[in-house]
Amino acid sequence: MDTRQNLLRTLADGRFHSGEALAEQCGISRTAVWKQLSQIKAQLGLEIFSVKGRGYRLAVPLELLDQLRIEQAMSVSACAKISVLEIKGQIDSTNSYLMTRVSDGIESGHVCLAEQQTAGRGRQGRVWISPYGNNIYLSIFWRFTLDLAGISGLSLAAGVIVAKTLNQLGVMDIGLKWPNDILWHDKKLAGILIEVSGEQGGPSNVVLGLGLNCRISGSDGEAIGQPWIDLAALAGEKPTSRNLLAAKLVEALLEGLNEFQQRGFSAMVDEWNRYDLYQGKTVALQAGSQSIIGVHRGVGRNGALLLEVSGEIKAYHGGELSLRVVGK
Amino acid sequence: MDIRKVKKLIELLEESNIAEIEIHEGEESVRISRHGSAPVFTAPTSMGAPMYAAPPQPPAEAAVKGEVNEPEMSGHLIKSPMVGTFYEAPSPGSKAFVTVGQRVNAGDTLCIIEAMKILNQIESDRSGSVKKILAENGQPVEYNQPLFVIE
Repeated sequence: MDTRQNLLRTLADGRFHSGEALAEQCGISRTAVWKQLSQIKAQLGLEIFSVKGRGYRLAVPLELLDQLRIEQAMSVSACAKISVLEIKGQIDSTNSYLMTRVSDGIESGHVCLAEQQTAGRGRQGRVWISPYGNNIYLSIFWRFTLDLAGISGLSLAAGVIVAKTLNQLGVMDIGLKWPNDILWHDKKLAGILIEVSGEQGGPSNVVLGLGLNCRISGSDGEAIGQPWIDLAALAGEKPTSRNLLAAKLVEALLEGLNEFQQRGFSAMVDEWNRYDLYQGKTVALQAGSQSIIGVHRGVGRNGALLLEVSGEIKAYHGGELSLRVVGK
Repeated sequence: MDIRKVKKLIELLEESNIAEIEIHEGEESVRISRHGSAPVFTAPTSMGAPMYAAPPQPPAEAAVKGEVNEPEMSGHLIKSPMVGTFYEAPSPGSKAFVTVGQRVNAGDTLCIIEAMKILNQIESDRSGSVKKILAENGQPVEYNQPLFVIE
């Protein structure tokens, strides 16, 4: 473990630690401790209090990702589906990282988690706010024998899997916005972005990425361009352990990917429709330069959005930029 | 007509190779067709005996827009493997994957087609130079719509 990791693990408890104790533990001078902590503040955006005579402490305690704890919280069968589990401190984007590794011949079940993303992203190059140490940034690589068209429903399947897993962990009142935003009362809690490469007709290399807001500070929240919520606000007194969350999400997604390979999305259509927050509501769908207003009629077997537009039901696959309720 | 019935019909169509279904029930009729990207539900206007039409037509190919419908130029066409939105660059504001005249190798990414929040990197299946880009950034593309000419 490097010095920075060592310091962070010690300070994670949110208690005061004296400069001497930290220096001794890391085998560096007190000045070096001070320097390291200044860097952590600047580079990771963490707030650290220093009080004369007492030492240093983190403004907010952290539960750092821990490979052993994650693996121990997973079922044996899910663990067996992991080919590699990587936990990164700081990374540009867990999705980008795995996409670059595809050509190295990585295997299905290659999982990457990160404490922080410096270029976390959503659809259309939008930024996914990814501060250090509090949220889940997770990507999984899977190689499908299905072609591109066969993969399309995976986007919706992933939304159902995440919503269900959060339900099982006690997060209630969440639903889905097509294709797969996970919302709590119109506020975004988690997002999914899937990237695919591969020859046409050949096997598809799929990277499934998930960003879940666990604890977002006020200043980070201001940078999010839409209504949002985090688990800390929903959980009240007892927030769910971050390692447990990561474990259960990886477990459910690995099982879901495996099942999707066999059955596709059609087996999950009803479940998706149960989580749908907009069923029967009038919505606007932005498709390219076009805006379509219609009544939301759920999703089809391949995951397409069904909109009723002046008496006609139409299926929409792509081009969707936003889905908003018109004149509630 | 019951909306669930219509949904069922759409599902039936999606599962089959049928290009169009038309059903008449009393005064109501529904026609669902693959023309364009979307099944279409027509308002009840026509009358007639119950009918189930299944003309054997190649799906969606007819939906390709005028100018790119019959490419007259030589070269190899890269077609869209799916319905979605065409993106020339990995993110807005960044450099396009390829420009006209550029050399590409088989396996190079040419564009992204996004559908339902899945970003599909479309690779060139042969080496050559990009002669023409036939789709517009940010606009919807149909299944099998020509995207690039590689020569």
